[in-house]
Amino acid sequence: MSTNKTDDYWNRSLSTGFSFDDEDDTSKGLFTNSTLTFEANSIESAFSSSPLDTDLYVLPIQTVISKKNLDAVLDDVLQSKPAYREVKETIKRMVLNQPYNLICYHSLMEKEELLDEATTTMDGDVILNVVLFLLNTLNSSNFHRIISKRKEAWHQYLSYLGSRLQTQQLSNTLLSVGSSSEIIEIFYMASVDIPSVEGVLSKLGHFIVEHFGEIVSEREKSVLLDYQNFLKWQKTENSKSQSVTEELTNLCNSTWKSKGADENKIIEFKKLMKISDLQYEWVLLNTLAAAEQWDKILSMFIKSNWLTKKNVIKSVIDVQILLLGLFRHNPPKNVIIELLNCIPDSDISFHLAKQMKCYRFAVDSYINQRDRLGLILYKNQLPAQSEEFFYAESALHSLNVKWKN
Amino acid sequence: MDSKVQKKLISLSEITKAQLSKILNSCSTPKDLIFDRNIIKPFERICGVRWLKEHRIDKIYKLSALPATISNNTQFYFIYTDYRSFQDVVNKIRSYLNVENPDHNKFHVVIIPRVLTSFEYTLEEFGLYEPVIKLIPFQWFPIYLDKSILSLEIPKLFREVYLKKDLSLLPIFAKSLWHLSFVIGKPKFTLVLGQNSNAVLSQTEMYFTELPKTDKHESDFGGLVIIDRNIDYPSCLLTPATYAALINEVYKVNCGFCEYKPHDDEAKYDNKYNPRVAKQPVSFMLDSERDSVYNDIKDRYFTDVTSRLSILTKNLKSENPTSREMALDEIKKYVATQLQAATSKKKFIATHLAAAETIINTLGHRFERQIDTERSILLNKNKGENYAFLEQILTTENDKYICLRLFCLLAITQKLTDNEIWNFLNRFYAEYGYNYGFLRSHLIKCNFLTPDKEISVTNLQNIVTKIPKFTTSNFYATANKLKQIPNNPEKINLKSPTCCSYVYGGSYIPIVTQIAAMLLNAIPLAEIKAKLESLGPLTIKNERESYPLQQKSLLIYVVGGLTYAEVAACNLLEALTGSKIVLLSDRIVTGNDIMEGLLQAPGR
Repeated sequence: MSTNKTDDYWNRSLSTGFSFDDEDDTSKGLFTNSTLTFEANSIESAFSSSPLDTDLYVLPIQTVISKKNLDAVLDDVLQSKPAYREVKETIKRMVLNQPYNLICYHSLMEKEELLDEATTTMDGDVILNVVLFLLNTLNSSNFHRIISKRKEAWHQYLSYLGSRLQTQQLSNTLLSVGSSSEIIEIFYMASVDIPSVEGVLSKLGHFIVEHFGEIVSEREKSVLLDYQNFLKWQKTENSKSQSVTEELTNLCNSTWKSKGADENKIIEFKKLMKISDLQYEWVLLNTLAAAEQWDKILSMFIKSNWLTKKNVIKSVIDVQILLLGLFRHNPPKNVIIELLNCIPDSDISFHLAKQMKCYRFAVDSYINQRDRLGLILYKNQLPAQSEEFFYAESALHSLNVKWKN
Repeated sequence: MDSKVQKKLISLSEITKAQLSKILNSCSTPKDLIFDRNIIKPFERICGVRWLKEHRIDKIYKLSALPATISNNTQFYFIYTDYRSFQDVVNKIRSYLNVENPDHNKFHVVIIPRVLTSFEYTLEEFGLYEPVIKLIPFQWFPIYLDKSILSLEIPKLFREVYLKKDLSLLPIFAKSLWHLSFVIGKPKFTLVLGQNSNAVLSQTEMYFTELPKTDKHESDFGGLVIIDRNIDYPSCLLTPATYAALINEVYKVNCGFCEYKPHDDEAKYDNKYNPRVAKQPVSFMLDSERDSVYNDIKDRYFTDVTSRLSILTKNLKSENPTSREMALDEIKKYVATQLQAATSKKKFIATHLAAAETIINTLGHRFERQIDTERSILLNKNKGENYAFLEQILTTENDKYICLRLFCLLAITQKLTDNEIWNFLNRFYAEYGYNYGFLRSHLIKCNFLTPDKEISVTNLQNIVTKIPKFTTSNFYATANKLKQIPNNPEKINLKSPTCCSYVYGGSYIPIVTQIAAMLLNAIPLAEIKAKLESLGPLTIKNERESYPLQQKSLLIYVVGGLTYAEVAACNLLEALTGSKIVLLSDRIVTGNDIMEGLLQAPGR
């Protein structure tokens, strides 16, 4: 019954284009326009019962409802929007910390305009505020499309997600625009607080499965694989060192300390992690020196030249760095002198000897160079009454040396 | 600029105190103050504990050492604008709260310099927004650190702005210029260089039009320069050679304080069995006003410092009369007046001798080679040898910042091939940990490296920040145009310098100093523009009515950190031109601070 009545009013209104008076053109237009979209047939099929002629029962609308009240009903049908404020004005209010309202910006166009205006302020707080408003009011594809076109907004949003460690949203956002260059950061963001080697290893495993394809740079990929290898090694060795060279240090240290330990493991680790010779030798030098294994140092860094049959220092470390590096460990003097003797360039060895206070070696160098004046000057720098002092003194008086000056 | 302006700048803290009083007096109940560890030093500079205690303060805590239960006092937390610290504070407060019936108006979180709206959202989500937790933004006035140095003392800005491109804190620069306008007026002539600095300029203009205006009609400064840190990376990458700068390199200066206490259990070796160099304990303020010895040596070339200190010691001895020569009342007078001065001077000399010795012990073994290498990098010579030195210190120094710094310098000057870059990175990861695997991405973001070509797919062109001309153009061409690199560095007089390049051993003059020199010498603006344009977006304001500068004084604002070497170079320029330069920045940094920012994991 009730449906019938409604139907009737519906039809009548449609056909006559009802209005109280002709002032309100828009409402009239609206009603009449609507009729165009409905075909008589479709109405009949859409509504279960056919329209009845109920005109007799219907009162004129003005007797049913006052104009004022009908206006209230109609206002409710087509509400006027909350006061719209110019985008520029709103953004300015945001910058100046005055009250503002974003809910009046509904259309996509307005939202984009809002974001554009926000980015011109270069105020990250304002930009992020608009971004979060868009995030709440747009679906993900629209949201990502809009912010990816505006780099200030994009960075601001990524920073926001990063500071909250929302790695899942971050990777969605990065992938939505195919930004693979930053995808690698997500793994580090997520793994930095994981305390255990196993935890990091499994996180890395997952990351490789999920995102390896998205990383463009082959070299970046191989860094991740190296990392994985290192973590696997650490897991089996039950170690917690921070880096490959630290691991090598610990490995060397424990090997030098326990007699008869297997040194092959060190070499195996060097090969596995492709440790550079410089890094490798530097660790060996320091760990051996700290363990006071001087003989081992000498045998490791001194080789005989097959051609000249003379001993030379063989190392990728610059010879001065090698000696000064060793000197910091206070080695016995004979170790230093043995190494000094293996430096073919006498200028270098002479200079080093002076730096490392190998007085006797330095005095001998002066004698070899037949530099009497140099030796006199140097003698005055030697500790008075020391053995070397007298040695220099006696050399100066010696008749065997043919001084050049 | 005269000493009156200097006194005004010293007194900026009075205004900050007034701001702080307003915050503390907003509630009349007894209060507890809780400070983030990093924020204590600036507060010592601004007001000190005694002043704080005058505001009905009951207890003062460190955030990290808060008790499990708290009194009924109103709580004021002081933290920097940092989401993590904010989270810590919120969690702490939640542990004190009765969730069913939370106290109202008990918890105040003062956030320096700015409360971000996203922080407010977090509180809303927890249902802790006012009146449970009240957030109070507080941007203090620039802090006067020393003669001609002002600092906002806001940490991590370089990382936020240049690496993460997070602009949340950028407006504080404009705000501080608005603040300063009330004290020193608005400098008319303005030169702005760099993308962020241009943003600061437009924000400043907005504040000047929309916010209350200064009643100072005349400015104390002839001009204002605002410049981005990334316009002149070498000034923080190069090894400085002046005393103050080296103090910051070796000890790390915090808010003008240099403090170091060795740990009791200092190991003999580092983690890779390199023998450790012991540092002498020190505690002093880098304050040329109070410490005449520091004033004498702060800008000296380092090798001259120890001999200078020994001269000062001798002078002190000769000033010290023996009591036998003095009458009794003379002795009395001496004890009352000069003895005090002599004693404090003696103390200062001892402190600086200890510090100087530590600098020698820490840097001595590589200082010369480092300076030589940097010199040949700037002269664009011996690329192979320079790279070999880089490889060497990467291994032998066991210091990730030092080697990364040199790498960055090479990357922006002589440029590195793909193989050289990857060789370095792989060794770096092996030496210091694969957990730094994000480093390359960070280096690209800060324009030390150029991005991969392959990645410019889909709509990425819109996202990847356009590489500023700085990295693509030839570093040497612009540096030579600005005459930053002396042709014969070895001829530069380092002991009694007349060229500002002495701060880097004669090899480089900071850009801020060169810009200041051009402006103070009234070089035609067209010429200046031609020299600076290739470095980044350049804006000059009010050129007609205010250039040449009406006063020989400049306020220079560096966005992203300032170095003591730049300060020293500007101090020399001041002396050479009879002008006054005040430098302002978010913080005084070294290259190591920049590197620390690069090496911090994403999301930190």
